[in-house]
Amino acid sequence: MKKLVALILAVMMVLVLFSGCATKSADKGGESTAATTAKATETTAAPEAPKTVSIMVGSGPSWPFQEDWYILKKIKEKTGITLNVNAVTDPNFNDKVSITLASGDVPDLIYLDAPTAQKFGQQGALVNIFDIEKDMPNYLKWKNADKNNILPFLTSDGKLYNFSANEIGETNRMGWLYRKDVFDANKLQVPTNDEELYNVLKQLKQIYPDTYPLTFRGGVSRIPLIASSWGAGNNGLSALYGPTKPPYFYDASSDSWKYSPIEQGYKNLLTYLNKLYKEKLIAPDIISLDTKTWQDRMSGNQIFITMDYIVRIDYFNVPLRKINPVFTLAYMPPFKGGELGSAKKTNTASNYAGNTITAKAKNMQNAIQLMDWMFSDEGKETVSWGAEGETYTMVDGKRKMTDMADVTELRKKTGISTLGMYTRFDFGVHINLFSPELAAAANEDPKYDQEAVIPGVFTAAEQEIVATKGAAIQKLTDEMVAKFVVGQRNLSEWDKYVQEVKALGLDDMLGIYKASHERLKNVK
Amino acid sequence: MNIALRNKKKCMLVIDRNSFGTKFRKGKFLLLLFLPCLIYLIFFVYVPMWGVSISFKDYKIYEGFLASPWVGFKYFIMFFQSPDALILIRNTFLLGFYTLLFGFPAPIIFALALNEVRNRKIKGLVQNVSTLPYFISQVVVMGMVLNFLSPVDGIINRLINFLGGETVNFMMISGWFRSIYVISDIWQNLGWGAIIYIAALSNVDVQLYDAAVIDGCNKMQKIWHIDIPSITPTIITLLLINVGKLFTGGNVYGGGGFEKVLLLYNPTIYETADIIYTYVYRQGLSLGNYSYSTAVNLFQNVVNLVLLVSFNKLSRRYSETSLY
Repeated sequence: MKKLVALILAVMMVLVLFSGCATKSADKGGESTAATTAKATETTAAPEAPKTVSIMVGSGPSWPFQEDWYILKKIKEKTGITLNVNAVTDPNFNDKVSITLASGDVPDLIYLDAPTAQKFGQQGALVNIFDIEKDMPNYLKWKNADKNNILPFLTSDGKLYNFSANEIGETNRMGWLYRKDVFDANKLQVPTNDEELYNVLKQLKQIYPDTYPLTFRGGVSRIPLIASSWGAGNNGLSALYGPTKPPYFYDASSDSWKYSPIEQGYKNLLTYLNKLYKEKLIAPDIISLDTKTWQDRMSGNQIFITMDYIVRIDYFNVPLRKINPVFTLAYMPPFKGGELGSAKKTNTASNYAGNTITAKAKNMQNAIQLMDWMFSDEGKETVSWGAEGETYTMVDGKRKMTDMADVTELRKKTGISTLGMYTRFDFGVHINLFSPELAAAANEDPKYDQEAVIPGVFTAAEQEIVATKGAAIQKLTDEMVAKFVVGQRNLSEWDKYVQEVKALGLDDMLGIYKASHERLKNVK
Repeated sequence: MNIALRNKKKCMLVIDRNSFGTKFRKGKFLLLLFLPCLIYLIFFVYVPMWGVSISFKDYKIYEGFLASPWVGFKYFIMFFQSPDALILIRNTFLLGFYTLLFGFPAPIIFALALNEVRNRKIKGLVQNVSTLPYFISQVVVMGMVLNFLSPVDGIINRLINFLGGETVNFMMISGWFRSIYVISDIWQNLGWGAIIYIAALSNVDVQLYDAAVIDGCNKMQKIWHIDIPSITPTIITLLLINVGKLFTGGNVYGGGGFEKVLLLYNPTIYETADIIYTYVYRQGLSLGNYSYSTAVNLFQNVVNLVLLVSFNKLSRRYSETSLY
């Protein structure tokens, strides 16, 4: 009997040990929710009590979240709302969001990319903005000013879950960059077409035989963007959005959707790249080059022309000038590629993301108020510039940011232009902090923009075709494009390759792009 | 040895005759020791296992996996109809097979060789150095591999050039991928995998060696007749565990696996490098098709389970050693 008692006690101790952990963590979670709900109820009782809104955002390593960020104080000062930020450092942010949504204990706002928001939204996790917009005068004013503001974010059944934050997309501009100092020292001209580029690369290779003068990171994912100057369609969306937006494009002349990697212009580009590859003008590991290696070669004077985000100009120029004062990476306008090409390129200046309100938001009214404020002119001004005397001073009628070397520092110190802290945004604040070369690039790049035609969002059934046929086509294209460039497959087999792509169900894919585009056209 | 075995069997028979209650009473403290493990297994292994049900459902994250509608075998059919299925299965199997074929015996040979080293200091040093790569993060090790093999300034190509050869663009040629994977895997797991064999070898009775010397055995004969038979049960047990992971694509001694492939591959070598796990990764995490990727993964695990069970049966029949 004694033994039995001992046994039971032992079992209980083990169980208590386990449950002990569980209750502890549960208590913690409960505390914060209790606190927020308590605050929320206070708000309704006494308007002057502090209002809160909780927000879940991704947090980058170069600007880790700080409790005392200026932007949080400023938002509180202007709106009376205290933002409780849950900054997720995990790179798999969307997985964290999935888990949070499934747990039921959700924040009021989440900063999400549009495809994810549309997916969660259609499952009922997020608020359809059309249902709440009547309480948002500033938002309505902005929305009615231009239909294109919200079009890319509409779902297949005409709902809207993201508060568009497109303006900050200027930071995503991509283009050709070249080493101006090296060009000047060797009296080389900036190329305007592929022939000239080839000659310049030849000369560079002659002067610096150990280098690969034209090299970019990102492998095959960067090629559609280059192809847009080769008459292979305006398809660079894929460069920006990754696998969710493969290089399908709308051809206005034939009013149809096409797949860029089987176009003649694309073939011309691949033939050209293959020539450069054979003559060692682009790096032999161009397909597998990672960011780190690319950076090392850029700073080690082994690459003279590259294709990347234009904000990378300052990323290289500022630190490298400490070692090599003449180091100048500068903007190179797109060149006309082949017979079919033009000196234009895909406009990558978009940011397909924004804040969303969760369906179970505890502080719904506060969240709506905050988002509406962000769409006001005052909101835009505040989240972009801060305030005079605090973040900037007026010098000769122009604004000058105080104590700020670059945009990274702006983000790090103040939280301005970090994820979720903006919707409308004045990109002027970034340009203000750019070096003269980068500021010039930011002003020049838009001149070469091709007009983008955005397909609509797919229905669940269409999404399934994307997951099977679309994924198979994408994989085959990636593999074959890589092989054409490095010469493992001869370009004389091009027609066969086109047939292979078509055999995987390309017509079905083009069909759903057309269908989704039609739906979008019908939106009033 | 045989006598011991027979005794053991006798013991088991004796216990078997007892009722459940007696057995329970006799083993209650052992069971108590096991209890935390059981709780762990239930909460962290068996309960999450219900998650595989989403492979038969049209999973909607917000509704949860209980409320999502059933779709039967739809996603399995989708996978087998996709043109990639056969290539993926072939790649996964071959990568796993080669890793097992070359990666599994390597630590055994290494442990046997190390066992013959008499100088304790050298032995310790060699063991430490060979174990180190296992503790370096996969991302870093694969970065090193890519650097070593780089056609621009990689050390291996420099060596080839120095010896008068042509630069080889290793990561762009699909024929190289499996070799690179297996060799780097052996390098990573050699020391770690050998630990258990070294431990088993240190338990061998010294008298056996003395007797063998008197009988006139040389070193190789000692290894063949004493060392290998005494670690055979360990080898078989580990072999069975690793056969159960054969179809995950290159995963022995707890190393390797899909992160490695993901870090190494690029589109040029999809032909050999794309395995089921990387496909699941692209479908599940990049494209968000949770149900579909779960179905593909479930198929993979079923194959692994079948492999494990059948090899375990074979082993029980022919070698007396089995996992259960």
